[in-house]
Amino acid sequence: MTGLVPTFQLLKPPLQIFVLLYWGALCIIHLRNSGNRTRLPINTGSKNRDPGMFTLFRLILGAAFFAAPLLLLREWLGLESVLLALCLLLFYPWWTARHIAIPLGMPRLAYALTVFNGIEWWNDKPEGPVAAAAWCLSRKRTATEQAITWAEKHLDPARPLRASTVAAHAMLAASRGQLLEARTLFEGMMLLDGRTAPEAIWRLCFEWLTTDAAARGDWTAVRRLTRHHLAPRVSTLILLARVAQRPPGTRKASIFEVFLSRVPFPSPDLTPIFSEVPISSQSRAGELKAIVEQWENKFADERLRQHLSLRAAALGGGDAGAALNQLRQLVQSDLTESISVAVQNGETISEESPLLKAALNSGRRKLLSELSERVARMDERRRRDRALPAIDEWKEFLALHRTYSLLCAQGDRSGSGTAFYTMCARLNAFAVWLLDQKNEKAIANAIFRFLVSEAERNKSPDREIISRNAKVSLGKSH
Amino acid sequence: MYLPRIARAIAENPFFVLGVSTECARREFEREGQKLLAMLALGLAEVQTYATPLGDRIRTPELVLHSMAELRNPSRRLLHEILAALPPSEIRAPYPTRFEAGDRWIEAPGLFGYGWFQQGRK
Repeated sequence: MTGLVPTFQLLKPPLQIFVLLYWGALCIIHLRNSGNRTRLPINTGSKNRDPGMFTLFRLILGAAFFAAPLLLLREWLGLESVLLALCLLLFYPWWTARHIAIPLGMPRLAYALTVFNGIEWWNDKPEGPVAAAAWCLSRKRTATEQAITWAEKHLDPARPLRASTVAAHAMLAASRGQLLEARTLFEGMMLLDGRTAPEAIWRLCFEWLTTDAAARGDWTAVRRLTRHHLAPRVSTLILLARVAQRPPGTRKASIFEVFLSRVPFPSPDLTPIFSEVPISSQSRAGELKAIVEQWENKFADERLRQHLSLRAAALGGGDAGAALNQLRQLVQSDLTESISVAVQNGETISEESPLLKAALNSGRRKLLSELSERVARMDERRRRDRALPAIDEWKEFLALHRTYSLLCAQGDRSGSGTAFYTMCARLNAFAVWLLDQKNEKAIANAIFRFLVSEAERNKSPDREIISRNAKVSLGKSH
Repeated sequence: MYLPRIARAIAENPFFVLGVSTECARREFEREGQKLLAMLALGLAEVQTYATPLGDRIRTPELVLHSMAELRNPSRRLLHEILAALPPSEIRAPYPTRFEAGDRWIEAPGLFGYGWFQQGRK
């Protein structure tokens, strides 16, 4: 750098103007990057590496870029240009990993490049790099267990959980072909605070989920995901949001549309991604009602009852009422599962039919019992001071959240109130223990925020205290 | 896809497994059961499957023995008689799958770099 000014003076005046413009552009890019800290991830209590060597290397790279135009005065222009291009790739390691190492199927290079990411990734190493390596492996049809284990062993179970930890585990599951597990983990990420991972990790999460939902034909999920407040406004999501608006049977984009969505200029119309899209898939609650009516008619059929009584007499045993009751139990049990699927699709089930009401009540009792058991297990771990590994604690919370959401979605206000008061105090105490004793800020914060929203819905007197817990749990006020 | 438990009860209905009518006498299904067991032991092709309203199913000696035991109990037999007489429209559940099979964009993960092409996703 010391020879920068004398060398600059040796350049011809037109070249000097070009170099000045180049340096000006570098300064503007640097200032813009420095100012863009609105969603900079926060530290959730992890012990991170010393930034000394890393900062020095970035400084050397920065200096190399500053001195690049002066290569014009040197003889070995070819070799130095190649070195400069390599420096450029290293200066934007995530871009290089995402667009070169991962598509070329080089998980170790993807890992190494992601480790080299800057300040935005500082609190997410090694989780972010593991997610990148696992992403690379998940694209391979023939990813070996050895390669997956290599990536997995970089995760430190002692580090508190962050959104990037969940993303890494989800991608590892995807690379093993466990798509349901990956889907559950990525969906669960949305319960975490948006500042517990870099934007690139959130993009990974939303793109994975929306492309997976499109592949399964779950366009309701595509619409829900693309409207989520953490969803980045990126071309993939915009295209999928538009495709989701199309009538059933035409929900595929041509290669040309996919190519256009990749062209790096802002889309002329970004609004659909955040607008309310009418849901075109027809409700099947009516169909469920029709099936239930058929069964109700069968159970109320006096001729069938008489026929069964005669058959019982002919057989010399058996009871028509008991046989019909066994059949009712079978149907009710099957309906409970159908209702659960309908509720997950966001449909409302009416309780007019006795059979349907009985099935709903049976489902609610089962869910309430499951919720109670899960909370009891969490409470037991807290009292014994025996936490599970962070990712397992997170999975336990996700399972509890799912049970509670299913219970609430069944539309019984008093039932959801009972569910809330079943878990509130013990879950709050569990989250406080995770925060104070285990330093699991991200998990505790997710639990507190979930409890705050439910406390407000149920007008609980504890909402103030839970809200305060949520505000202090990440170490900064919201 | 049908109401799963009802569907299973129909697919394994003793009257279909043994190939007898719902009004058969005990002697009749016992004889039919023994005959089927003997033919299964010989590996005869014509008794390897049996027809149900949900399509053909594989017949095994265990299933034949279980079916005979079920029909010996009058209470259980009454339940099986109702199930064997059900029209197919009452077996069907309104949720064949959560999503429309023809509405899937299965290439999406491969196109956008989140899996490989034609990766089976359900």
